[in-house]
Amino acid sequence: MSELVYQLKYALAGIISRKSLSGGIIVTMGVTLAALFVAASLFYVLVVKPLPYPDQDRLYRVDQIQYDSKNKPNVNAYGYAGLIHLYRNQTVFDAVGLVDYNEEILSSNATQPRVFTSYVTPDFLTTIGAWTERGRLFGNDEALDSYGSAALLSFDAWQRLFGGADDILGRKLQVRGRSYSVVGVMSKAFVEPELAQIGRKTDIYLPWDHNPVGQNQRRSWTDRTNSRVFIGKLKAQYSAAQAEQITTQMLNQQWQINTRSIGFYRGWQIKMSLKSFAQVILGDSKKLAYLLMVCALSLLLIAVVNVANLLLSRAFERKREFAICASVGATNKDIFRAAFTESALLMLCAAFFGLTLAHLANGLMQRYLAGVLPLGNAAGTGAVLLGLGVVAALALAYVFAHISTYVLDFRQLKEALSGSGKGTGNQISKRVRNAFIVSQVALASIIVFVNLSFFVSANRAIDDPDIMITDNLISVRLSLAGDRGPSRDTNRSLMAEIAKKFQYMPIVEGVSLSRSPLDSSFNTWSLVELGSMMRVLPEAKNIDENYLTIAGAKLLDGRLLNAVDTVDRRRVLVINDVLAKRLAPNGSALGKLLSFNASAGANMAFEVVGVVKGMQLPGEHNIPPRIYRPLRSNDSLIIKLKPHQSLSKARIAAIVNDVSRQFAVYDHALVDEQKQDKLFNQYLSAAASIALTLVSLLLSAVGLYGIISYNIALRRTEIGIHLSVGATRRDVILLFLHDLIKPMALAFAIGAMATVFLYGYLEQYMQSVMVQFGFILGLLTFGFMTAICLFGTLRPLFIGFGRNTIDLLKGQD
Amino acid sequence: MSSLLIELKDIEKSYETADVVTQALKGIDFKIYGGDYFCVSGPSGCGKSTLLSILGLLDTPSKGAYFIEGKDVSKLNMDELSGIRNRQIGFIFQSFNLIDELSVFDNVALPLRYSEYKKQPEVIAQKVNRCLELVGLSHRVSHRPNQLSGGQQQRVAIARALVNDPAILLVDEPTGNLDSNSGDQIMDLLDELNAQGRTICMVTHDERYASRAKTQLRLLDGLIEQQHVQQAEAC
Repeated sequence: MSELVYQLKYALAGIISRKSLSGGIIVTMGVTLAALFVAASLFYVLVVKPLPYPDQDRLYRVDQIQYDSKNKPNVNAYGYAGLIHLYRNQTVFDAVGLVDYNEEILSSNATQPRVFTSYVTPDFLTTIGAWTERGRLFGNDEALDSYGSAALLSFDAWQRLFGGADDILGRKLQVRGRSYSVVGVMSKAFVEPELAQIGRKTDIYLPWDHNPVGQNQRRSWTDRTNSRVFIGKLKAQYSAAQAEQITTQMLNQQWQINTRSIGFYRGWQIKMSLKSFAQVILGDSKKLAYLLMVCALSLLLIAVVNVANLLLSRAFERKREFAICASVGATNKDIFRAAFTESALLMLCAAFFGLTLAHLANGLMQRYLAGVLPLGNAAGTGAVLLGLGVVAALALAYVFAHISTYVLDFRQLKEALSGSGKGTGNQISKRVRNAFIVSQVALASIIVFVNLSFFVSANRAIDDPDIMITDNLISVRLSLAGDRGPSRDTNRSLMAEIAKKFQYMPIVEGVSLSRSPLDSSFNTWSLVELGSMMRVLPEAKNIDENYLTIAGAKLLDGRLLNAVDTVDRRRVLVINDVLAKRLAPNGSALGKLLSFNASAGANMAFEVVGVVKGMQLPGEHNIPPRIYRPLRSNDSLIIKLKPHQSLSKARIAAIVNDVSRQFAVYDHALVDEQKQDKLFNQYLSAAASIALTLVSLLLSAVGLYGIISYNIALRRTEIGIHLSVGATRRDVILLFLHDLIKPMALAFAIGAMATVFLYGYLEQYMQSVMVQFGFILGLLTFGFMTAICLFGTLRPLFIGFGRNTIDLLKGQD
Repeated sequence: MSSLLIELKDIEKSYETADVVTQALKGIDFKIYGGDYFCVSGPSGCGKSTLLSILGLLDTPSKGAYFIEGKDVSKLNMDELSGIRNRQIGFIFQSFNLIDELSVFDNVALPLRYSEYKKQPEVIAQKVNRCLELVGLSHRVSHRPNQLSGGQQQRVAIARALVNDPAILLVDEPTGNLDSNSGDQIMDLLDELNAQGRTICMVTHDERYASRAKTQLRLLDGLIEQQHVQQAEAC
């Protein structure tokens, strides 16, 4: 015990006596281990950890893909009737379930909050292994066609909406005018599978039968709404491919029979696609986890090289100390133990620092990324991370102790004592020194260059000048405040009245009775151009006469839509230039007739009356062909404010209620914020890459500065020798800078070659960036690295110059 | 009478740590003339090496005046001091202070790299070779210091001190790291250099070698305890 205490005290004294070196090592390894812990947590959650559902490897989301007559996938959506047919007649699953995802107003609550509702069949919940905190799950009373009126609350909704009320069971709640009775509350530990949208958490589960699909639509086989999901637990004897084949055969046959009379679907077919829960829930997140892990391991590599270099320098410095130990009987093992104890203490400090940072980072991720990554509740589990940290610290300490003592020739240790002790400064060989610098600069250059490239690439996507301008736009969606709404005609005139009210406000520049350009309001239309009989599949949006003006569309040919077009619902279209070029590569697309059904004749066709320049939506790489049809929205409007003006939800609600109390403001959002949401991946990518760049720079700056300055400090005697024979300070500076040129040049050459090599793998991300910014980014990286090296060289030199030459010669501080 | 080369007037040197002030030199006065063989001796800690560092412009006195060839060096800036170290002083250290990465040739040539000859490789080669010949190491020009014995390393240091033809050689315990045989050879070499007219100022605690000097100065606790000039050879 006393031996251990002695070792610890001895190591601690060594650490304290070299504060800047120890601080550099702790910061370097702490930041790196934090990055590694975060990446490892994500990797565990997204790649390694099994999903928390029984038989999760047999659970699938079953999709129905509609293929057009050219056998191209058109839409992933079930017709309601087809979905029910599959549910009743499938033979390949042991258990199946249905869910229809919606967002509605809980009108029984005084604040009328918007809630996420899921209309489910009872077997949906049992298939995913749901269980309750209180009450029961759905049973036979809520089965298909039983029209039960039970409701289940999520644990969070129970707490948030009902204050965790003890008497929650039996309480009544009202959604879309229908009353339900709460029969259960989901367990707190139950994690809902995010099958439709990452981050969406159901508040209230309701029986499937009451989903909002109208009675007519329930008979449809061609519905294109994709809010409904079919899940199944595959029978053990079937593979996913076999199940796809069997269900496709079964459902496509019925689908063909039921769509035979619809010309639009002539030549179309459906195919079933099974996606495992892991694929659906984790999706691209797995790639992100791998990418983050690679980045974290690269950082670890830099940090290990840094710290190994610093500890090597320290070992050289301690050569005399080790020699003294050896002279009084210390064995190689004793000296290794001393080195290991010091390394272990340093690494443990770094691990605890890293764990603290990782804990903070995990908190931030849970807060900001839970909506885009399926993090579950498992990221950053304290005990696991702590164990991981201690093990990593001790493993690294063992490696560093080996590296530190490996370079010492124990046979020569005693020779270090042969000097008098005066003027026996340590010197590390030039080759070792240069190897340190080359490895450090090359690694850091590669990482900084690649990350800067990613950053520039993401930033370009964010600042793309072709992206639609969304400044000062507010998107408003209205819903019925009561159970019954006005007639269609009344609704139309009320909406026009509401629009007019806003239009008269002095802060408003324009109003459009259309849905936000960013709320997925485009549908794919399959149209035939009657002249050439060419089939096109443009994205279509219903708009009023003001939309294109408000959205800043640039008219290239013909005219925009006008009030007569929208009021009379004329069969005219404005198209974008992408579609115009397809329809008339060498001329004008004006006057072209587009129809769903070529045989229906010109009367049923839409005439192209205008061509606008394509507007890129955030996150889009290419602008697709688009058409705009004159049809005013009956529940949405876009308000364009004058610059520097704002309009609160309360004010909007007041104006709407001024016109009619039958409407409530269901949703109110700045379109610019919607744009930010759409660009989240780009923002995330930009933030992650700039963070990685900064961490890499920090690590390489600490490492390089440490290596260079520490080695210069170790070369104090050499500096003293030069000064003692008459070298001026300028001579010494030039000498040391000259020493840097070769390793720096070699490092940049290696970095450049590695970047070219990496380019092969990262071409899709880096191509345009490399062409336009490669030189500048290279120069920036070169500049960063050179500045760090210069600072690392000059600072300790000037510190040395401040001392007497004799002190330098004696190697004294 | 030889010319006055070095003159120290009331030189003091003190070191301050957190709570202790150590007076290493307490008012030293002496003169060294050209061609002298001057030796400073005394027990360990008496201030010999501190005095030599001040003489070599490697350290600065806390008080007093120091003249080299009549010039007050305390008023010179760092670069001017470097120039004097380069042209007028040759320093020989106890621990040799050679640069391991440089060959014997380059170690000896080091002072010339910072002199007016730095762009004249032929002159450098000529001077270096002549000095190496003088110390008997012409056959070791390409060796590294760590491939040489202690005595040979000290000879390289002497060659380096001589290469720029300085006015004075400052020698700090030249035999401290050597065996007696090598030590004797080095001392013979210094005697020979002095006989050729080279001014030497040596610090040693070895009375045997101190007695070889023409002028002997004995320090005790930072003060001159005794100064002795050998009559037969005194100037």
